[in-house]
Amino acid sequence: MNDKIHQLLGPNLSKDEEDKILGQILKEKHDADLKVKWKTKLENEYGITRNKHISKNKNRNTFIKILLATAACIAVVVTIQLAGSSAVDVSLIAQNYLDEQEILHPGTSKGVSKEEVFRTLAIQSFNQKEYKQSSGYYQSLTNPDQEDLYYHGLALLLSKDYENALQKFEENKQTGDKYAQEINWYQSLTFLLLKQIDAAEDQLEQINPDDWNYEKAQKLLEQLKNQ
Amino acid sequence: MKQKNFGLSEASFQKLITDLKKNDTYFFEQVFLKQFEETVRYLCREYRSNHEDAYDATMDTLIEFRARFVEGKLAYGNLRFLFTKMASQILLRNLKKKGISLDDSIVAMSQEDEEPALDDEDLEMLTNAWQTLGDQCKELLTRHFYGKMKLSEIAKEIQKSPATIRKQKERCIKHLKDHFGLKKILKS
Repeated sequence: MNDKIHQLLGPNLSKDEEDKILGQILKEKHDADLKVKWKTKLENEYGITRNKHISKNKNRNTFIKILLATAACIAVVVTIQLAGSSAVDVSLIAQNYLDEQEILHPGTSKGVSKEEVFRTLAIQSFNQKEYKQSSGYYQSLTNPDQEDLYYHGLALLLSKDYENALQKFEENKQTGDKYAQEINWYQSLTFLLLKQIDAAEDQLEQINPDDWNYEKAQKLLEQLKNQ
Repeated sequence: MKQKNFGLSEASFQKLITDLKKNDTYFFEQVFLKQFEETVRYLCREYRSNHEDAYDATMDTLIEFRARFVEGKLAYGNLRFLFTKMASQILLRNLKKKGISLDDSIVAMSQEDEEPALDDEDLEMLTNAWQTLGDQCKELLTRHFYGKMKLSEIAKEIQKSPATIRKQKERCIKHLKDHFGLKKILKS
């Protein structure tokens, strides 16, 4: 039996000490309960597991969600095909992928020097979804780091300035591979939005099984090959 | 400002705290489980962490964030930034425990060296003892010890006198301790 429980059962325990021990042990119990609850919720509702790949025994809810998402994609594809354009459908799917997840910058800088002020304004505008404005502030940075280049690229993409977004992503790749997985994905979407199908295919093929959005990339590739 | 606070207004920030104090985690989950994947990816990218370590650190951050909310240690301001930084610190703390050090300059968190109060056997014993408590006891002890509500606040909310609540708390604790004592006798 642990010391804490021994202490709790001790005869000379003051009320304050008793409260302190109870506070500690009940926190551990409730924290453990919450972890179990959240683990289940993350798996069932968000498809996130501790092991990177979702197990085959995924919850029925997840299956239904995937089924609905697939149905939605198929609906878009069929509609566009009926309209007689086969190149537009995948770019619509790409736009869907771009829209489905909220992209936010993780933090703001303190804004002491002029450079930091621009950086802060860029991040703030980005998170307020003022992408054109954000891009302008990023452009004003004298020495952008890799994170700046990444979010600048995203700001350009999200403000539909696709050509410049591609250029910024390339620039980023040349400075390091910190954002390589994300850039591969967003470059693929950008090519699709520009209807540069061959380039998109090349880019999607660079997404490895352990990379971010591999499954989505495979779906897009399959879609492209079926055209 | 809402963007910096996971889309929370000041009023919803207060509601979140009130709910957590009553151990109602629904709203907290709605807001924070959405951030889980983004945070895991951030940790993998920034620290070259593997997915499992990033997952554990993000989970620990959620637990720590809940505690800080009920303890009144979080102010409405830039929760997003704080959450990300805290996740980074917790990841480094966890890795350090495993003997992996990535960055010594990171400031250690206050709970870094705090050892768990219970081992698995004790946790099971506590869970069993907890199950023997009535609903009112469970709610009272949870709100007071886990939700950090004062007994006077609980009394006001459920429209009972503080003395009644104090007495009830004593009875609930005695029940738990008796259960532990019995187990101890049975084990020896």
